[in-house]
Amino acid sequence: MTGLLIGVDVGGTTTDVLVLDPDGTTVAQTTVQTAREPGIIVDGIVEAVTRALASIAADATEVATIGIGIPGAIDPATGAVTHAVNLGIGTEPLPLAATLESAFGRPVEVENDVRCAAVAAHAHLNATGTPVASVAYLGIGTGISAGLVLDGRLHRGRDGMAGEIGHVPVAIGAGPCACGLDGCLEVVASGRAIAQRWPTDDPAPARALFDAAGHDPAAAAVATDVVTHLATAVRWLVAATGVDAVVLGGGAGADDGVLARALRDALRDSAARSPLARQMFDPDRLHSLPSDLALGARGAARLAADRPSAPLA
Amino acid sequence: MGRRRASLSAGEVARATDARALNLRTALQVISSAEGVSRASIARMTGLTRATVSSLVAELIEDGLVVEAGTGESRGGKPPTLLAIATGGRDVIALDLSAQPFRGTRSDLAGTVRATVTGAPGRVTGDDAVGELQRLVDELLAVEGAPVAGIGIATPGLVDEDGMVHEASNLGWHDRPLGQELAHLDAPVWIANDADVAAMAEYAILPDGADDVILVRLADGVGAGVVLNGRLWRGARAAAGEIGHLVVVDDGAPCPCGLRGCLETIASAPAILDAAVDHPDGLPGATADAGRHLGRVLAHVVAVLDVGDVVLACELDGIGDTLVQAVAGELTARLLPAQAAHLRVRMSTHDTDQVLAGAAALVAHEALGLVGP
Repeated sequence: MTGLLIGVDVGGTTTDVLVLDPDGTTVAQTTVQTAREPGIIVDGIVEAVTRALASIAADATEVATIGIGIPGAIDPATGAVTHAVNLGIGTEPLPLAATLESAFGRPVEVENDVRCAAVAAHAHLNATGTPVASVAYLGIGTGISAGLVLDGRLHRGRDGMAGEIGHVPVAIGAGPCACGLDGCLEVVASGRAIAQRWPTDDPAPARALFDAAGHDPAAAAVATDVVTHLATAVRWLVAATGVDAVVLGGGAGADDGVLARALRDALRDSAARSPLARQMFDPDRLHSLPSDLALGARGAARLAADRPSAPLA
Repeated sequence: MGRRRASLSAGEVARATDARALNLRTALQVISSAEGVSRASIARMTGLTRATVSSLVAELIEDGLVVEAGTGESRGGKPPTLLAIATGGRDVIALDLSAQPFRGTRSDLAGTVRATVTGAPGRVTGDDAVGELQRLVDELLAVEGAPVAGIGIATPGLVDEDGMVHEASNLGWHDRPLGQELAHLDAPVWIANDADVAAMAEYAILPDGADDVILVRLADGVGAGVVLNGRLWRGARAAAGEIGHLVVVDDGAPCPCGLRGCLETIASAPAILDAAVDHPDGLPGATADAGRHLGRVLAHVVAVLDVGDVVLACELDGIGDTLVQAVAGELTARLLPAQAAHLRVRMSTHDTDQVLAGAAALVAHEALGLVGP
């Protein structure tokens, strides 16, 4: 087979690899543990991609493009990564695109993981009977950030900082954030915050919290607070961008749709009191998509394939 | 001198019916986009033949839209005849419904106002608001002047490209088919959100390089217009920048929209005036409070969209410095240093009424393809 499209989503814990045929159909999908050090992270990606190709008896010569979604700030000119704190990447740029291009001899596109997921969420909704021009993907995992597709195009912002909503203070006094500010959205409502505010051994802390909220007043109080902050974030996201749809994702956001259901209830409540709120924050325009879609990897593959300089498949 | 204008999205593109009409529009656009345009330069810029351009220009002159305006410098042959928009050739009508009483103007294509109308004192909503709007339009249509190219209406709230006003709670309009209700008029009507047209007017006078802008208007309500990459960004049903009904005070004052504690209940021009009465620091104190709430909301908007300029416009005089200081203070405290570093916050320097100027420019662009003024 030729013209294969590779998409990789390098997460804080696991790395997803998708191999798509030129039509975008999945032909192989693997998930491996992420190697979380700058020295070995690239080797880990090379190995994971090689293994995914080997599973369908293919090699790099059959690949058209490779797209990588990774947390942090990406230099659009060089594909180098900085500020991916959970991967041990700081201010020293990791030349990810250049290193992978020389390893595979194929064009490599690197983009922020949440933006990749936004691109895939936009495509998925349009392909499955929900026509939307603009989508905000709200990634709720270790941190919180949003990816925006406006009128079908990825919006990066003037300084490439668009969507960094996790570090806007929403609860002054709630505690310090790694960014240096106090009471950021991430401090009160991220997956990590949920796990800290309601400690559990459950691998899905958001689901554990909402299960407990049914019978434990302390859990109910935390759940209400988390939902209130996230509902506010969704409203402000829509009011800023005018998107047609908000898609929840990330470890906590995709968790069994439990957050999506709670958020829809919160939006329904304000919609019942205000026709304007019903128009602007329609609960039915809030979606959560199954995590096995591997949106990050799928969006990365799509962005790489759509890059103008990429050879035709 | 080139002119800047936020370009329009695909859905707003000209609805020219045939190639001739499209070519006429293109020629007019070229003439309006720069000074010193000649028939030859139109041919160069559009790729149309000299003969076609001559015939188009003849029709535009005959139609009163273009005039010959002196001669340019010769490049060896006969000096070229320069062309200009006949700014008196058409009138445009603009209405601003964002504050009551409503206001309207009839102006020429250079923006020179021929006539101004103001609605009756007091508040109107629902059918009465449509009646009042209709009355003002009729009054402006009756004014002596050039043929009317179109009517631009700037309304608060959520409005789509078919002229349906989905929500304008201050006017009591819910799913109001305003475009249809005004379809009987002799001139075409364009309806847009007030903050959006103000953002376009503001964008036209911003320094080059400022291509990502939020323009916030404090009128009877609070709304923002968003320009991204030099394009007006409306979002679905013009909801982008519709920040007035975000709740900023839990269990705050009731809002006409049905919620409590909306930004509008704190930061609209009437809300600031109301709060100033009882505030120990009077109007400056009430303004600073409003500015802090506005700044908290704008921190989210700037974080989401990553824009470089925040421009504030307010119906009230003399509070600009206090407002800018309060808003900028909150933005600096609430944004990551990398986002706050290049952010500029200032009052609008637009010297005429932004909303009416923007609505007039919208008509000139949509009806005729003109760029500027």
